[in-house]
Amino acid sequence: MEELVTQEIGSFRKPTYLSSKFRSYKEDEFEQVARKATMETLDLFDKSGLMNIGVGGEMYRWEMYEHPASRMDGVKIYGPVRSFDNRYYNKGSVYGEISRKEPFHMEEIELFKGMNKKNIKLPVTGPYTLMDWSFNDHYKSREELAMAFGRIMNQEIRELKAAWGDKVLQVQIDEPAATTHPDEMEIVRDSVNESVKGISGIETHLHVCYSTDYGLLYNIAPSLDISVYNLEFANRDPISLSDHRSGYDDVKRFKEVADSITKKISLGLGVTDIHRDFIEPTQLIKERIEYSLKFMEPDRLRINPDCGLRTRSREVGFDKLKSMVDARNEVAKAL
Amino acid sequence: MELISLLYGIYPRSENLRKAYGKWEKGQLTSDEISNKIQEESLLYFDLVKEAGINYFTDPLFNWYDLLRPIALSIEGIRLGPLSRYKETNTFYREPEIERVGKLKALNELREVEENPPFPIYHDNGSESYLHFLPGINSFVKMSKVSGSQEEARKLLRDIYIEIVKFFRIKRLLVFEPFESNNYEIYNELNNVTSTYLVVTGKFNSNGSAKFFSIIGDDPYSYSKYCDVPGVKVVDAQTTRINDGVLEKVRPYSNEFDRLIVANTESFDFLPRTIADKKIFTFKGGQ
Repeated sequence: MEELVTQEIGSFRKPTYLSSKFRSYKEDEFEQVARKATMETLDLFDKSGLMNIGVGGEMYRWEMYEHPASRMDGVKIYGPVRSFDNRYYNKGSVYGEISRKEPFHMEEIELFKGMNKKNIKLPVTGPYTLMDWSFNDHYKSREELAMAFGRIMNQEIRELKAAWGDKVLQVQIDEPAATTHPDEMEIVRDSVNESVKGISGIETHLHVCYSTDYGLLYNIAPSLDISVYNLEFANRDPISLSDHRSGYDDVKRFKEVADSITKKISLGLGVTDIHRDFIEPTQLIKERIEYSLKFMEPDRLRINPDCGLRTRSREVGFDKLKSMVDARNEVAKAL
Repeated sequence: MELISLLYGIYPRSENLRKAYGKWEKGQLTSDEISNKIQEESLLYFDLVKEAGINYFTDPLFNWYDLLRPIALSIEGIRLGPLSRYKETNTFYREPEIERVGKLKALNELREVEENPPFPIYHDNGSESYLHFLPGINSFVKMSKVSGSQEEARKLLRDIYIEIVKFFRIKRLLVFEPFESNNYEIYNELNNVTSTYLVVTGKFNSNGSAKFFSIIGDDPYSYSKYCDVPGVKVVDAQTTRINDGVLEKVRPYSNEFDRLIVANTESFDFLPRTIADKKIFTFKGGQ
């Protein structure tokens, strides 16, 4: 097993030619432009030395909720609601039984299959987050709606895997809302498990960021069908150099859970903060990795940013990835 | 039973206003220009609520980036901290960091405030239906990071609120407590200087001395003796279904109260603007 695999989490800032006309391109024109942006982003990822390239920064997707929601029957988007300040997202209303109108991510799978890329990780929006970010005007309970989204995601992942072929496909289920309702962790577990139920040949990742308590997630890990947990840590760690990285103490808790269950689970370690332009120096990231290695074996640790880098400019995003890869390489050399 | 409709909290911005803010953030509009735009949009809002027959409404708070922001920015000794999740929603606010509750800064003139929309904080249309808005003192402290005594911070905030009420000569004030509290006596002095409509969350507790003009929550039986006119939060801000069955929800109270205020459950900012514009016509059971 390769040690300290570097990976990105999903999104990367789109080039202006794509973002400025994202919704106004005609279908065939959009395909060309999104492909061009993906190739340019892959080029950046290659230059950074990243080992797993995701899907080239999610250039085919505007936003993680709207992308799948707008491809479903039973969901209507009436307009944006505020996330913070003057930032908005299109929140859908579930008004009837939901079903998939068309695949969500087939273009990406076909593109990467055509390029014979193996080192990809496909992010998909998780069923619990889809439920939590929707108005529920139809289903009797939040649980029912989450499970309905889980069945849709199962259909999606199953078809993507079939299109991908025999090779193992890494699928990352994005669940930023996973720990926002502590009393609903069973719904998180059941709907995520529903998303991957009965699908073989996939390595399942779960990405949860900006949680106030990862312990809630660790509690359900024994019964969650997930192999790799890609989590955020850098955001809560000071940037001054120190042997003790307080933001990474949670890694110890993760290890305790990992040791208590029979299946092997790994940790994707967030080492760079995506909410600031500050480029973490190699030494700082090295310290973060080395501190985490006190608890986790290197073949169970992957190295990634806290979250998708779409909030940073492409230049800053690249510098952050490069610094991350350099730090990883130095640590790996010393192992 | 007479139903009195009341709409409170941040009202969703129109597409025009969101775009204008986008331009202002990029430096393509001046603070004067965005301020004029806010004023224009506020006037449109006042026309809309009048057309919908809303009896009382707060300022639309179009330049409030979150429930606490303009107040936090107006008190010396408070600065903005990181983004923090608002309750269990997907909406975030900047957590105030209260070092000390100091002096009040200017609120009613054009003023640029860090990277936030310019003041004034209110756009009073002079109508008898207009309510000034303030976030609940208890919730303000709960949602902040406080250095030192929380009790002291609450008392100082109360004094600031009294100063605001006197400065603006506020006749009718709506105070929104989005979190449950057991300290509503903190408003006793405020109630002496203005007519307060208190929107509460969860259970209402009082040691007996609280007296508001109105208390609006989920269980009017529990607080009706502490106010002149009780109210209920029944128009759901978390669903896009237009008709919430308001009349069904208030019918059980018809034998108990002569007057009942019917209000929204939360700021309509949680709704798309198109839905909010329809929902305001349903406060008394309309379609």
